[in-house]
Amino acid sequence: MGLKLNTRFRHTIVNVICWIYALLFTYASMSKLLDFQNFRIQLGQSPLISSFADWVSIVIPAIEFIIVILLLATRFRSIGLIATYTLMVMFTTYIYIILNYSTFVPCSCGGILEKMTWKQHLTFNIVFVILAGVSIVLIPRKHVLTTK
Amino acid sequence: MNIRIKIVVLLISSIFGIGVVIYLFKQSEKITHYQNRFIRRFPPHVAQEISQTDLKFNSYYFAGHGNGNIYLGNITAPLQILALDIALKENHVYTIELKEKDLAFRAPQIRVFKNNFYVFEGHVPYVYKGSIDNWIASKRKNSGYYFAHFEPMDSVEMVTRYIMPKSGENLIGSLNLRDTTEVHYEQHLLEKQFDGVFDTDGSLHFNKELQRVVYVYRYRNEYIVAHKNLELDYRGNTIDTISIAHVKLVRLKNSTQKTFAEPPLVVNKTSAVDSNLLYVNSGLPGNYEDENLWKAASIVDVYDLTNGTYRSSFPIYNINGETMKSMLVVGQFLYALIGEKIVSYKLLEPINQDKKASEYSGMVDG
Repeated sequence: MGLKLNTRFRHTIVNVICWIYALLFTYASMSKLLDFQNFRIQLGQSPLISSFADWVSIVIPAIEFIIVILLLATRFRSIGLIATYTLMVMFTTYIYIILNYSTFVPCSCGGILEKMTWKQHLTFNIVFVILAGVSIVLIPRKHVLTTK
Repeated sequence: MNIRIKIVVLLISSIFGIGVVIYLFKQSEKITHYQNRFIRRFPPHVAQEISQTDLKFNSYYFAGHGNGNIYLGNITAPLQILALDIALKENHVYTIELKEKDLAFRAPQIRVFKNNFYVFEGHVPYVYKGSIDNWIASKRKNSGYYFAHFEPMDSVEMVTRYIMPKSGENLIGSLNLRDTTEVHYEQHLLEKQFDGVFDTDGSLHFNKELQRVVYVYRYRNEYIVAHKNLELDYRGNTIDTISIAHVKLVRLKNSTQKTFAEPPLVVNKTSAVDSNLLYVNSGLPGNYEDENLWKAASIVDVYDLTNGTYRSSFPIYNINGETMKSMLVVGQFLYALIGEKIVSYKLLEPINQDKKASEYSGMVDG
């Protein structure tokens, strides 16, 4: 009985996190694609990956979009969560390098995140990395095996 | 998945994610500075306008700097020199007196170098030299090849761009004011692409700090760095992709003269050198740039002459729709002639883009 409740509780947490992520990535990829020209200019001006702005500007929204599908299709949820976790680690590393190692600090990202400073952005990202990590740990074994 | 496998997966994902971003960062930095694919870097606020002065005329050009002053010559008043202090607050007008007045006078120009000044005209060709203490000049040379550019390297040795008789081709050479009989020029510094006249056009500078002659081509993405004796040091590239001059010429009817068949593609409009840096006002927008910025400003690209690398770019804003005509860099100040105005910009250390942002003094940005 206790175990069952626990499983249900874990299930709920994972569900909620997946939905939050699905929303976040939908928003993030859409806002990039809707203002693609501007997004590419911003990447080109990024002190970190300016030389790769061309393909990064397409690959990032594409990955975000695929992750949303993976998270929503319960069958691929664990792959989706691992991808989410990796992508968030990458974003976080990106911000960390900008703050500590780059030769200048550019003006920030688009969308709602524009209002945040880079430090707040870093905290925001770390929280999300932890959320993804937690959900990977919590995702019930059964869930992984379920074919729906 | 049991918990142990999950932890391993998390660890691998973390290492992979961090590794990829660090790798991209290192590669991107290397490409930006050493093999730039025409992606400019605009660090925020590295060039800030600090003052603006109305000169009342748009016919001024930079004649040089020294002793805390910058000197402007005026095409329509060829023997007048306007000295402005570095803050552009105070000015003095001096009138140059030439001891010998027997020469044909078309459009002489002035250069000020340390305590001397030079009045020259390439089409006659003559050179006068005098001291800025009294602004009186005497004739030092009035024969030899025609020349079109002239920059002092020290008090007697000048670097020039000669125009070869007959062919009209450009050659970089030097001119010694003590021994005016000897003409020294270097055949292979300028590289001909089709006519050796238009395709080799550009601007000539002498960099005092590095003791190097610098020539920036106008119609291709190249600059030449040479020693004082005109021996080639190296050829550098500007970040755009135009390696072959795009200039089409037609011969005028009943004349030997040629003119442009279509507007030529100007790659490097105007340039300046100071300490280890080369400043080039480019004519070509790069990838992922804001069009509006190009409508509102002239873009200056910065190169490090000691290693031929691209460092960064910054805008010099138009004034009343007028774009920058020429520029002069003295230490951390850049002066630009824009219409009838002269403006000064303060250049901050991050134009070098060689350190972490936190290590530049006084640059904290959100």
